[in-house]
Amino acid sequence: MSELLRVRDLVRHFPSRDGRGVVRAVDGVSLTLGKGETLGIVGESGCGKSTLGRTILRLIEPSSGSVVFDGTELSTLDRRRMRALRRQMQIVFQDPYASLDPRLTVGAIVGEPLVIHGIGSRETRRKAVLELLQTVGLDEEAAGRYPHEFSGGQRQRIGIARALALRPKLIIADEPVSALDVSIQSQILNLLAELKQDFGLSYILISHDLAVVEHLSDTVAVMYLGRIVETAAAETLFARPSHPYTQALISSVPTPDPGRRAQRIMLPGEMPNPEDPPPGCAFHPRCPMAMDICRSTPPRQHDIGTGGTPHLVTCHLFDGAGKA
Amino acid sequence: MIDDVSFALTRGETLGLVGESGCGKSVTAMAVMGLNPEPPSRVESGRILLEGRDLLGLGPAMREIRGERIGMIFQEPMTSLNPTYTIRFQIAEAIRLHRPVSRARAHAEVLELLRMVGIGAPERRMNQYPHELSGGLRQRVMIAMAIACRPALLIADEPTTALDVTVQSQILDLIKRLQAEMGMSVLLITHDLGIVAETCDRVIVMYAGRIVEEAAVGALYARPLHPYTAGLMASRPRLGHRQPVLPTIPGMVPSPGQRGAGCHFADRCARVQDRCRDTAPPLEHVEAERKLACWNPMP
Repeated sequence: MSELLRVRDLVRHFPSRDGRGVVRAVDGVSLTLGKGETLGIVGESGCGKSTLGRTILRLIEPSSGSVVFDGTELSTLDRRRMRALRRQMQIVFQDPYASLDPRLTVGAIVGEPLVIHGIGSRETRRKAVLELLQTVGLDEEAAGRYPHEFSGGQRQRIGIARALALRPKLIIADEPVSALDVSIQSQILNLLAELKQDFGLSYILISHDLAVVEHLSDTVAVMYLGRIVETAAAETLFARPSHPYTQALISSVPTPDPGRRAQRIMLPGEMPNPEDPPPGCAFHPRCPMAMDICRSTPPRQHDIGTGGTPHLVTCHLFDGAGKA
Repeated sequence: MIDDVSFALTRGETLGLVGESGCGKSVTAMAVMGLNPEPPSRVESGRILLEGRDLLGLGPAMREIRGERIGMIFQEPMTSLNPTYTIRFQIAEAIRLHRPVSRARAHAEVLELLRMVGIGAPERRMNQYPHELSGGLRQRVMIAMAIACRPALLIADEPTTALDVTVQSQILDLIKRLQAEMGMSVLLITHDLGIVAETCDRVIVMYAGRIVEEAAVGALYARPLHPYTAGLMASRPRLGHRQPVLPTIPGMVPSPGQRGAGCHFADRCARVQDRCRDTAPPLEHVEAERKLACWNPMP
């Protein structure tokens, strides 16, 4: 599969609140996304997954590292060329209400990217907007109404229509269904799957919800405190999670099957403050498998994949195994 | 908002109240607590019995029941914790509101409660303010306040929805442990069918202000009878059960103004019949331990 996006050693540090230290929100992330693929990024709040999505698009400027999109290195592009390229990379947010301007009609919101990029005439834009609304399952008359007249699920459809307006190659969906009710979530998840087929899209799906990530993703990366700790094909990751954090995360998801009250790996504590990450492996204070080396030395990444499919895990437990 | 909602909880039992936003599950819980603002809201009819006493006629005496016989925890602890007081002050106040204990005694009980809810270094933690604690610790503090008077009933309204999944398991585990230790009944309100399956004995499914189905957890998950329950279960992606297209429930929940005379689910239901639109199905026993409100249940 040809490559659409390649991220190497991406770093984004923020000054800490007291101004003396740094928050390592994204701390050396590498990942690859193939054309037509969905990469799921999963992790708990504060792990840096949303910052990562925004840093890839340069909505937040990276501190260092490289992002190559469809053959073009983004980190060195000037503003004008970055803006032109951004047509091909769109983002869908969690809270469709907060991301839609309440003073604009839905038609104006969905058509706005076309206006900004100077695409088409007023008439062709109007047609394009109606077509987009239909594509995401809204009535044409929605164009004349305002965001507050719509339910959460419909507002997410509006956000998706806007993201599609410029016919992007990549959509980063940041918790696209987390604010929605269960019965509405499935409608939006099906829509995202359909659009991917119809428009040949690639997705980066950022979510804390493992079931949602498993449902849509081809490859899944697990983040903890600014770093990716494990990456594998979705089936592999959920069937044979190898990093102790991934194992605990998966075992924590309540299963709707009362007969099988799962054996849970209970992690102590919560994710540490990224202003003051633990030394060595950042997960070691909560890790049931922690060894002495984990407290002092950051682990390296190992490929424990078989049959040519990479399964990357960054953990000292694999120091003897696989290719470092 | 809610219509003819009846249920009972036995001592030591965990009852799940499940449904999507706007189904009336929180309104039901607030009604039990006597916390819905009046006006505008009003309990038009019905009774709420706790240990044989009707709570609806109590008036100001309800304040004694609340916090003493019924404890409550919410999704977002910061809405119930006062940011300007220390943890110690707030828990002590919860105790002294209902029992005239000395300052020293209250202090000792605060420490004991913080230990019970699994807060490490309680001597240090109790002198901190809510904003200095993580989300998981705040939820533990709120649980400590809720159980301070050893209530007979704990109402937990989406207690883990704001928490990360690894912290969620800690809190659910804690609630289960405390329930066993103290013999409390728990009314757990949630939208998450996974949480219900793992923590509840019985479950009530609500839709648009009414109970549509009530059953023991095992029976409900083995065979949901109401098309809404079945649809809700099927539409949620499940770990390890990947499918190309998720089953969906079309449309959306009607707002209170849009609810018709018949079954509120009729417009979204694949099994709808003519009478569903005219006449609301009553909630009736279909088995000894099972109730259903549906004219045309799942086969």
